[in-house]
Amino acid sequence: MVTNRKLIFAGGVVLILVLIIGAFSLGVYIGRYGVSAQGLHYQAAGDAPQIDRSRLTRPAGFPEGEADVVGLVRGGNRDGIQLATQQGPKWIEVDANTSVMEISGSELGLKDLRPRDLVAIFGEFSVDDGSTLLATYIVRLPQR
Amino acid sequence: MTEILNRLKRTDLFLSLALAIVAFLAYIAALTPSLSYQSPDGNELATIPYVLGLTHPPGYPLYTWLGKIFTWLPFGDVAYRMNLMSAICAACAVAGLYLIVCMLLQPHVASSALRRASAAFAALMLAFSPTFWSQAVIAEVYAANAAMIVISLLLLLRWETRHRDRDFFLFALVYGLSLGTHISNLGFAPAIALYVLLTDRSVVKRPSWWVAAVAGFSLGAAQYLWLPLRAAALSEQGLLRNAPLSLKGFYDYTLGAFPQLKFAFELSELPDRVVVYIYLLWNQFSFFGILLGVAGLFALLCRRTRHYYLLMGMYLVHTWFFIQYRAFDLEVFFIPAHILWAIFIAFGMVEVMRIIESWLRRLSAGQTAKAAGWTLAFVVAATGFYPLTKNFSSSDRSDDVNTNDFYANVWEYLPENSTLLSQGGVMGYDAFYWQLVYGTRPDVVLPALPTHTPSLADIQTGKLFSTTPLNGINRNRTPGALPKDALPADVWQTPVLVGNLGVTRTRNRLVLYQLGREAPYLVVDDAQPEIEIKAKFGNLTLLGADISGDPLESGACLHLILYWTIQRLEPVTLTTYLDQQPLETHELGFGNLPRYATEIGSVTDGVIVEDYWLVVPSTVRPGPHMLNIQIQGSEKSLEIDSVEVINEEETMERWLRIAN
Repeated sequence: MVTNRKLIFAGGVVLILVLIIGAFSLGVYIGRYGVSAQGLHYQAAGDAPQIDRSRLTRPAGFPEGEADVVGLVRGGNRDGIQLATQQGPKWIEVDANTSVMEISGSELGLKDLRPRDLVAIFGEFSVDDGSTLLATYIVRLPQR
Repeated sequence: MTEILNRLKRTDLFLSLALAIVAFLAYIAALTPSLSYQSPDGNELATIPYVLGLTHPPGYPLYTWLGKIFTWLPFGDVAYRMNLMSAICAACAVAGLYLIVCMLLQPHVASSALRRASAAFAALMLAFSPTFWSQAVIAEVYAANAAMIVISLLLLLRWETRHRDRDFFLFALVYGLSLGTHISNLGFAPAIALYVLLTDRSVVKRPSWWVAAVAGFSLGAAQYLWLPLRAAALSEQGLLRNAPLSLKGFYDYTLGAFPQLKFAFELSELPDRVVVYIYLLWNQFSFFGILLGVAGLFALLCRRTRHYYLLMGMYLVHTWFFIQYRAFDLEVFFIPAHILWAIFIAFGMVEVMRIIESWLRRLSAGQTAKAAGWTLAFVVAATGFYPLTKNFSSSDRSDDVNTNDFYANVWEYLPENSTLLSQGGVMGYDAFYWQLVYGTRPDVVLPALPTHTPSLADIQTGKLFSTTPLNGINRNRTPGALPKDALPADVWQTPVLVGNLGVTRTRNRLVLYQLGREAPYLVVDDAQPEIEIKAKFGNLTLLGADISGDPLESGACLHLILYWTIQRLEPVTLTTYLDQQPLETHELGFGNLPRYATEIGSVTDGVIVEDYWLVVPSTVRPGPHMLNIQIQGSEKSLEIDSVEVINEEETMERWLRIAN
């Protein structure tokens, strides 16, 4: 019986903690967005940068045109990087043909990219919903 | 301890069967008739079991094998049979949930009528909750996984009653097998281990129990040997990169799959993620259901402490993991958590009913109180049907014929020996399904088909078509993709066949493009349309139209030519309707006007001709229907002509005839 009481007490603590986390989260959410559905995104992009994409052109030596995606690096691995963009989160795939560089044209490695780096991607969308892009060029832009 | 199994009387088994039948009938009424874009992987999961191949990570071996059995059914097409499997699995999960609640609710807590009513209430709340229902009517892994989780729990409770090693072996076997419907079930292991220790700590000292546990689980999990065995069936580059042919490849294909989606949020974002989950929970069970669940958790803790640790442990691990998961179809990943929440709801409902019952007893006595108790039980159980009526229209996918209608017309349209460029990977199975399952049009080359490696010769012998805009397919990184530079950079994409598509998350539009270096027949000097209209929409004038294909078999397509003049080039979006039903939406000139104006000549001096085949859904009833056009931004809807629709061939028969 004593063991059962201990278990009930411990379980009760867990349950109350869960309820507190839920209430705290609701409070934080309402503080951020008010009583609205504004923050209810399954793939929340986070604080995506406000970029005028039309002003971004490919570095010298590359074909003219706008970047396909511009966003903040959120993380990644050897297969690609996750970006927060104004159009929502994008997964940027890389392969052997992908070049990573500074806006000046100097070469970088994928490992040189850090979370919150601002990058422009030139490549091809590989999924019809526009969530995944195979990068030909990843250009790190000057930080704001 | 009283044997829990003994509490499952014949009445409970009968009621669980009745609930399964009710749920199954509702699922059948709403079942998707064949392929669908409701899930990103659904068409792949409808195809792979038939060919006993390997799905996208983590491979889903058990789902594949169960699916293969269902493909042997003698009715519908293969995709329908796979949808039916989901309906049956979901109905089993509903019945199992009822039995779990009946086993857990102790007799002294409430009368049998109230216990059964609350169990039925919870089972119905789950059965007709939007997300669970959505997965019960399409080919997907989530309904099968729900059934496996529920069966695992039932077997674990069965072991609790007798403490026999062979019962634990059976549980461990089914639990191991459940990894083949969703590998995330592995996360339940710590809660199960804790529950076993709380139930009978002596088992850890018993070698026979260890043998039963390890052997059962290993045997179930051994299904994953299917991955290296079938890895040869893979040829899609994204999957090949992590082919399960080495230990590392095996890990990357299973537990290490989708690293970019896991724990994808920073600490500061977690409150928002928790609220997203609460929102999803609210969508399933309403605010009332959340309150009942919280009350049920307290009741479970006090009345069934060990089971609280089992169920709450499973629930917390599952929600903790998926709250941090970055997927655009996030809601379906929470289905196991919803199953557990439904159990909490049942416990909450029993407490509420006990309070009401005690009030009724105080107000009346004897037979009157008993009758009041039965009435209460009936009302509670009947309330469980409310979500059925509330959610039926939004869950009804029985008219989701767009994918099949479009591709049936595509296969009929494509000239001999042509090449069809489609999406690759899981998204390409809307097209692959036909050739892999039915061998449809073997003369048509599908370069993105996983088993096909195209050569330049393959695609240069016939005409080129595409069902996806070129920016998504001209990739040189997959064996199934086009050879590098196979397509000229200046290729024109001319829409020739347009399907119907509502708003889905996985596909924006259904258009068959013809590809070629010749500019499309887009602007002419003058035109004499058969149907004169001359309707002005600001800058734009619809001169008239030609329509052929009257009478028209439902599901077939009509040939539509629209003649427009425009004073200055600006984007115009228009939608065609049959009566009030929208058929398709496109930009005037299907996106080709700006390029035409730059490379060929003015588009404002002549008549713009839109010449395409338009699919009429097979759900359209026979009879006369008015074809209308509406320009975005204009409230005016313009009547073009009446179209006579006939229905001489049953829809499934037509699809199967065209398939092969």
